[in-house]
Amino acid sequence: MGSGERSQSWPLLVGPIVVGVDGSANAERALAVAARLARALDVEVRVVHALGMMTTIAGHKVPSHEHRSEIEQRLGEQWCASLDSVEGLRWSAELRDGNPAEVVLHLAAEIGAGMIVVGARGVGVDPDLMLGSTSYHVVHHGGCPTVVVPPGR
Amino acid sequence: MTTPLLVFSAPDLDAHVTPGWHPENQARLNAALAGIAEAGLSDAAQWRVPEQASVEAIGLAHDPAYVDALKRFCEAGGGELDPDTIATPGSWETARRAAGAVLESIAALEAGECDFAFSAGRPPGHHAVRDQAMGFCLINNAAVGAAHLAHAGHKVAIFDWDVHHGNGTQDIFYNNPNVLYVSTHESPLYPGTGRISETGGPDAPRTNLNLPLPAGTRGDVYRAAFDAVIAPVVSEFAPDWLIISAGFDGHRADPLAGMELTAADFADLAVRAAGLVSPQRTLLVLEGGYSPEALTMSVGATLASLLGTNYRPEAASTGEIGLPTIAAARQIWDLH
Repeated sequence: MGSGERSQSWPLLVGPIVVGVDGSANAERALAVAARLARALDVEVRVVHALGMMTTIAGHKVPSHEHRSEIEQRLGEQWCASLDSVEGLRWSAELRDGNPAEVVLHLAAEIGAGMIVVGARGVGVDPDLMLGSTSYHVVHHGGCPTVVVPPGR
Repeated sequence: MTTPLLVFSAPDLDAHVTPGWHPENQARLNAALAGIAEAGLSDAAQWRVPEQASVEAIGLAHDPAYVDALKRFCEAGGGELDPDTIATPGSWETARRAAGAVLESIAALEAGECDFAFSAGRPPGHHAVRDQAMGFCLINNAAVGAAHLAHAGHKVAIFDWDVHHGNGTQDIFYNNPNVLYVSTHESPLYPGTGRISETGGPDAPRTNLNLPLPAGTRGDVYRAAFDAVIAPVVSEFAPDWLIISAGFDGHRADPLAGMELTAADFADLAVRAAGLVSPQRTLLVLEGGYSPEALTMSVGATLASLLGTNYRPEAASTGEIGLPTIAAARQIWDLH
């Protein structure tokens, strides 16, 4: 394939950047990467938090449905606070019920995202990462390029 | 001799040990089983300890690569599979035994050994999709049973009254013309799936019925939904078997959801559902339910109603919330 064909078929950045967050430090790094990419490429950032059956608030697991509005407030005011300082950045954030990987993939497909950014938060010990890894599922099932942000050192 | 109720459960062998904060724990299984004595069914029920389902049987519902990865994950010590879902070293055998309970329930009913079977294992199963654990679920127990029956040439209806949509069960059978999946669930709520417009895949039209209901829905609307939508759809499908994915987290005391059902409401649904198939063809599979007291009352009332015993520790509820869902479903399904 020549470079001309490659650029015509390459779907990168004709749509917003979807980034999944959960209030963790790794998600914050993913958000920072998404913001820098979005500014450089002049696209919007769509932040999404997947609401499971349980949610961690102040270090404690609590039933999500009883804390929905509180989580929504944290998402906008705390977890995404760093985006307000990025001049000219267009962004929005929303809660969606479901599994983190599925939520990110559905939103990306729904809005025709140009890119997905997720944190590579390793869980468990399975070496092939088939189980439990949001980034694994997004990379393998997504319809657009995906950036996986490694944990900080 | 036929026993009115066979219970397949092994609480003493339960090695799926979740952390203290987790609502899906061993205590809830004990609470569910306590409902049998509480309802005065001790003489009518016999108990059996189920064997673990084989990997091959599980593979009819799940991707074999997923099953193998789950086994290795548990053997390696387990961990968090997602923010909700835990696996421990003992989870592999415990989950396989929960699936085995469903298969043995089917075998006992087929052999005429009981009128009804209750498969009470954990963890629950209906969120587990073909290749992924989620929502507390590792192996989709009801789906393993339905896949076994469908593989043998039967037509199976699954009625899932758990408050959460059984995305895993829908995912596994969406394009299977021999399995009808019916779900009543709270919406919006985890897992965010279960739209009313999803009625089956291209090879299986009219085999998937979703009834998303708003928080606060009570028993009167569930009963009306059953009579006006579920019963005609199931009758049209004409199943040989009925598997009830019996989650009791729609109870008004449940901490994970916002429905307003009572123990008597579950009992009313069970009697209606069992009436749609031949005798000795209904089994109940325990799904969710996270209030111990509500579990005891609801399991007791549900099983008692099937056995014709009067145990209704709470009255049926009414409230008229959720009626628009029934109207919309009747239109989509062209029911007149």
